Amino acid sequence: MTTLLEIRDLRLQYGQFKALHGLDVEIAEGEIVAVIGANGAGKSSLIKGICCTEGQTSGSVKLDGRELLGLTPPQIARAGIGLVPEGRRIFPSLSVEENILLGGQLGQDHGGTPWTLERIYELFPDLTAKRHLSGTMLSGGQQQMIAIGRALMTNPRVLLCDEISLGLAPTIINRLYEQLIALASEGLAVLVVEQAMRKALEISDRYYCILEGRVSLSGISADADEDRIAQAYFGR
Amino acid sequence: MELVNTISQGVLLGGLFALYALGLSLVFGVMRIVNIAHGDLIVVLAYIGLTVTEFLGVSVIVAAPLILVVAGGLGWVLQRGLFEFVPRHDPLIPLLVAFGLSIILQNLLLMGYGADPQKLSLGRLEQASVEILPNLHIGVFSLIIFGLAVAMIGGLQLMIYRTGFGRALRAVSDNEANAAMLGLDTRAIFRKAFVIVMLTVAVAALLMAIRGNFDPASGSTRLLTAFEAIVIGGLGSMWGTLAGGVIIGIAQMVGAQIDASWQVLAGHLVFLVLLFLRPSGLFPKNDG
Amino acid sequence: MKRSPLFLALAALAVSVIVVAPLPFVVGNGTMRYMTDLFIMIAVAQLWNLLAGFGGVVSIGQHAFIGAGAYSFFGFTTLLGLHPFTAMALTVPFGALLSLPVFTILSRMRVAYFAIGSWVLAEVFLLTAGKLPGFGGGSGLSLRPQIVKAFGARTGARIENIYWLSFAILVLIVLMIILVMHSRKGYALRAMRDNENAAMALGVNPNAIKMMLFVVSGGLLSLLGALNTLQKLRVNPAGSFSLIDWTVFIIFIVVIGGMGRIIGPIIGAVLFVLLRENLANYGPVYMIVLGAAAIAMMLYEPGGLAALPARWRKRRSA
Repeated sequence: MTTLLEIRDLRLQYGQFKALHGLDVEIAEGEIVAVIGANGAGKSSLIKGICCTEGQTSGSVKLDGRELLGLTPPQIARAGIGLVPEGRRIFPSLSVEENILLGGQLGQDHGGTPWTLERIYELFPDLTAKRHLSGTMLSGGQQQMIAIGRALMTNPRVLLCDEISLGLAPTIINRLYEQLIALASEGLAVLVVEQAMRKALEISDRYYCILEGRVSLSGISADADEDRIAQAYFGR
Repeated sequence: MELVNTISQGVLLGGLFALYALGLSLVFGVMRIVNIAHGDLIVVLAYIGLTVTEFLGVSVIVAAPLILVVAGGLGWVLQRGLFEFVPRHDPLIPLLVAFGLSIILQNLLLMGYGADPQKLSLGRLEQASVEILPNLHIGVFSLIIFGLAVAMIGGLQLMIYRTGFGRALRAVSDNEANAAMLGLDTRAIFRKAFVIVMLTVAVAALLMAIRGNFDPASGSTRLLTAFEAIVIGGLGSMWGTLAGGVIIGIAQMVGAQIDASWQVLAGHLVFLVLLFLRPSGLFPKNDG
Repeated sequence: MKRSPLFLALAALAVSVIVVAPLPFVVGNGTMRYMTDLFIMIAVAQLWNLLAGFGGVVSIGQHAFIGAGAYSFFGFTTLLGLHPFTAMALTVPFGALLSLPVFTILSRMRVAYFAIGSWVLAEVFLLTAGKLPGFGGGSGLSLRPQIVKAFGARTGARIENIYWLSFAILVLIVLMIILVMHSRKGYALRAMRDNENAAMALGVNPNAIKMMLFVVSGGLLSLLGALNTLQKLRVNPAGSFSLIDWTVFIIFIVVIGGMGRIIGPIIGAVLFVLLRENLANYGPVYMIVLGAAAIAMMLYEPGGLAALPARWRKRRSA
């Protein structure tokens, strides 16, 4: 398996405050990688560092050998990074369908079957009947589907999912993750940032545990040892 | 019959007011800037129209495409060269920047053209009229203005609700930070939006300049009527803005029937009464 | 020895009173008239700053109240025959009462459009003033000599008295703003300016505070309008309700001098007067320079000239 997204010594700081102290993370094609850690450990900062949305970054973020650090968010979206942001960020003035279509305006083709509205509705049939409603009128789970659909429409090579399970019922979380596993089996690289540690380990191939802006532990999810992870998670 | 005549004139005048208002409404809707200089931009375009037609020695209709190009370019320059640098976290700052721009534009015009009133001519078409009912004559040019207003609103609606660019505009208008985070190129969107704004300004400016006199200080009344049309109609509703423009137009025409000095005041008074009765406008949008 | 900001502000005010109040014994009539204009201008700017800089309410229609003050003073004296002193005192409640319905109507609009709305209302005031019977219509009327003479029989004495009156009113306005800013209400105001929602959570009612500020400034602006009429000796719609003099210039003064600081309008007004001396002959160029300076200030340092020293200190230490 070849590495698709290669993060080396990623540092991120906001003014004087250092959020990331040099992270190394790798994701290969078709792989699901979980990033776990407590609140404030730097999980979301990792996403922000990759997308270059805030703060000053240094280090390297390479997608298929191409440096992303220093690019603008529009360039990063076009390069093949699809973002499912924390809190879903659905636009209320846009219908479900328009929210999804918006993703299509951000990305570009990287080979493979391009994503279309039809394919999104196939993936998330619940959305079909509600396509003309305002995006924010749907349930939390369905809004998460819109957010994933929107990210997929950019035809990403790597999908970044920030706290997908937050505030959702377990059955919905299971369904969403099943879809992500299916997507990964088709070759998509998926990075999930999760506070729900068990769930994240259950669905991922490998994991990175982050503590105070550093990787405190990483490995194969199936081999993860609960005690060691708890130590890496809480720092004692 | 006199009254019907007055009202029909007011309705048609309302089309012009709506044209004044479209750009102001877009700038606020997309960029959240209260563009105090909007009226002055209309007057600037009227002077550009004057210069272009005089320099080329052609009629406004022939020169219009060139004027539109100039207007679009000016919009791009304004956004790229000024508004892009204005912090918008505090609405006070863009408001006061626009205020400074307004005074600069007025005085540049004063230096360049003097204070004398100017006018653009469209020849015989200005006087032509049709009799649509016995004794009810309507100016062909007024009809053209109203028709253009309807067409421009329709066109903008299509753009905003049926195109990818319109989708992006609405997303940015909803939440700029979220749109930027997802990878929408908000700077490019704002630049394009300002180009479109200035195209509407150019159309409004040329029609205004043909319809009557203008001078460097004419901007403020245009700003105020545009603003009144928007507020009466309900912020964000373009057909509402047309309705608002028509109401102000009728009020002004009826006021002018009483006495010429009542024309402007009547419009303002009707606005204040409607604002009191329906603070969120006739066709409010519930998007907060 | 560390003094509280309130003490320092009051001390600065006291020193300026000691310096400025005796000036009529030294300077001539021309200078005194000139300084009276400056006092009125600073006072109007302070009140605009109170609304915008401290309250976050941007009005482009404050000239409405200057004009209303002028017209009510004229009406009380000339039409109702009140004593000029009584009439002048009455302009304060008149302006305050007038600003109540104005604020009520304007606050129905979303915040951003308050500015243009206030301009519409000022236009309505101006146009209405031209239609009031007894005020001379569009061309206006002069004050009767005996009204002016109530402020001093001889020209020299009158100029001195009006100088002291204007300065006293300015000092009272500044004192009021200093005390309010350092009171609990003042802190509530700052909280509101920074974050309206957070302030509401703390039990501050932003709309009530804004209304109070608007009403207070409406009343005091009317008084200043009456004072200005004593300088101009006549009322007329275009002059008494001058957008350029009482709103455009005032906004430039505050924005360039420093919004949200008491010293800002003073710096701005002095600079404005000096610039006017040197550039007034150029007419439009003067206005363009002011407009450009205001824009540059907003982009570089929204706190105006008054905030520059602190900014530069910070940069040096950083």
